Amino acid sequence: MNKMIEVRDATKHFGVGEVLKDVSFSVNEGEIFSVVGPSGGGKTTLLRCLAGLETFSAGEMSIDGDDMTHKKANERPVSLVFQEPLLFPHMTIRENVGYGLKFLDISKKEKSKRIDDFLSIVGLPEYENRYPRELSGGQKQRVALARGLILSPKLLLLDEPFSSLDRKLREEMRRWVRRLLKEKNITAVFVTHDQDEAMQVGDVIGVFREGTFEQIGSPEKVYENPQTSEVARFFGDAWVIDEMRFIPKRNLSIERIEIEEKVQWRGVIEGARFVKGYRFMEVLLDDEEEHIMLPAPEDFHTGENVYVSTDASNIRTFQQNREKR
Amino acid sequence: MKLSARIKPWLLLTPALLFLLLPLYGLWSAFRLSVYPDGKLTGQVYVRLFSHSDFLLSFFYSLWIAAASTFLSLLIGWFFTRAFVPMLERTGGRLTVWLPMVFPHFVWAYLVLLLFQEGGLVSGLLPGNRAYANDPEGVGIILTYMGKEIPFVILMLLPVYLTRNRLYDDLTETLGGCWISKIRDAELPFVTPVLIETGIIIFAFTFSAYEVPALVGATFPEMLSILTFDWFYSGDWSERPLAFAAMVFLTTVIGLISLLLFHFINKMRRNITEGL
Repeated sequence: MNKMIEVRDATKHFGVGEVLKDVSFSVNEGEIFSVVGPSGGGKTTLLRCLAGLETFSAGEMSIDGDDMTHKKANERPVSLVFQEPLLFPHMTIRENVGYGLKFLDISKKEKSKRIDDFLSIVGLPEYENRYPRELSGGQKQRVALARGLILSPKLLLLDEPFSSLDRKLREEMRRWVRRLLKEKNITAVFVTHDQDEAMQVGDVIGVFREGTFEQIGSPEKVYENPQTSEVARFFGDAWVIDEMRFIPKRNLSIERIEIEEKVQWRGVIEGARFVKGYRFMEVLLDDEEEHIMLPAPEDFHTGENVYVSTDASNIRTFQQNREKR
Repeated sequence: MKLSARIKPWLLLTPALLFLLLPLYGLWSAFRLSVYPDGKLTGQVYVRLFSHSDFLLSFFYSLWIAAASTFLSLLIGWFFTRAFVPMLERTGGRLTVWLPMVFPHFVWAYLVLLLFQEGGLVSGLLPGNRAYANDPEGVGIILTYMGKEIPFVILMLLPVYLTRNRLYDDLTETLGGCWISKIRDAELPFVTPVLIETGIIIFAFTFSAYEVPALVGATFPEMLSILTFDWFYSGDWSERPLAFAAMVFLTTVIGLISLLLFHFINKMRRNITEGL
């Protein structure tokens, strides 16, 4: 598959602080690359460098084989969709969608046709003469996406575009955006701090922390085989025993009694939690002084002493995963 | 509850409305005396006014000075604000803009006299020792107003620039725009309502103020405020209604321009504040 974007040994300094540290990755044509990581880790800086709004302090990047390292933002075949929709409030929806076409050398007729097409694609043809103030948050973000896509960019960058939407709308938008990008075969880098969102939207996941990728791989691979304790803590639903070992949470259970052939940790039920229709119990582990949330089919009571149990074979090491790479 | 919600704004506005009654009473009184000069209703005073060559000359002269002062103050004030926002954010920077606001127009006019009158500090350096105070082109008046109004424009625009979402600049650039598109599409639409509003205030003030043209204006042509003052206090009582008519006309012109522009910016402001 053709590599649409390639970044090699990229770094970025602001003063004495190093925000990006030897970042290297590539994204194939038509692939969606989710960059997920905690806030303040440098994700947005990475995206701004890819867009050309900032320059890498060192390193190279190319898009479709062309060197882009020193090109300005308005010379790159890249569109960026921001956290906020940033629609021009004084322009109609039609004018907003067609904004970038003003800078292209194409006929009026072609411009008009493209705007019509993209208004239909985002399902807002009847809103063309309205102003942004008349649209909901989700509709505004659709317009922002259409405004970016209408330029047929070789690379689409999405910087947490759903973060300002409510949960239900956010989930709808994730599905809709993924379907749209796949239909149009758009290469995209999607930045988020939400692991569910990263998995749902991306074909490939990159866990980004403290200015560098901790791990890159398919969502399933990163989820099942975290290579570092940080990836396991942030991305996988794993209980990290120490910096070397972890147990996937699905291999853990809560027991009332001590079972000799199992590995067990003593704890006390702190309370029940409900996540997406499932009941979980929060257990405070005695030795670890750590909370762990596990599904609990039985009706445990708050304050009850329990054992968090697993088979010894379920204990895995990060080293194993690194070797599997 | 509904009644109180309807009455509440009016109650809150009462002090402002009561205060507004004073100038309205003055305007009404001037209007009454301009249409009842001899106790009989007549439009004769206005016919005399509009056929008076001194009035027409003063009117267009005032219009030129007010328009030039407003335009130049807005343009230079806007340029300064956008160029020096990071400096103006700091207390020292803000103080340098605040200080000129403290001095009265009289002080600025005196400064222009010192610098630009014949033999003045700057005039002496200009080719042909050209003096710009008390000049018939009104440059001295315009310079005085600029000295005072540019800081005012900066202070009005500064909050807009400090709160403006600069991501719009980035957005414009990623969509293919250059620096001109950034100013046109990402900056001016957010600044324009305040620029227009500030322009209305400066225009209304410079069009009708007396102090500055009296100090640094030429003896001919005169600005409208000087002419009406002369008419009002001249020994010939028959000229006093002309002063009233001129003031009523001036107020009407400023009022109509303000209404028109306020209507224009209201829609613009609504789109901007609600559309973000």
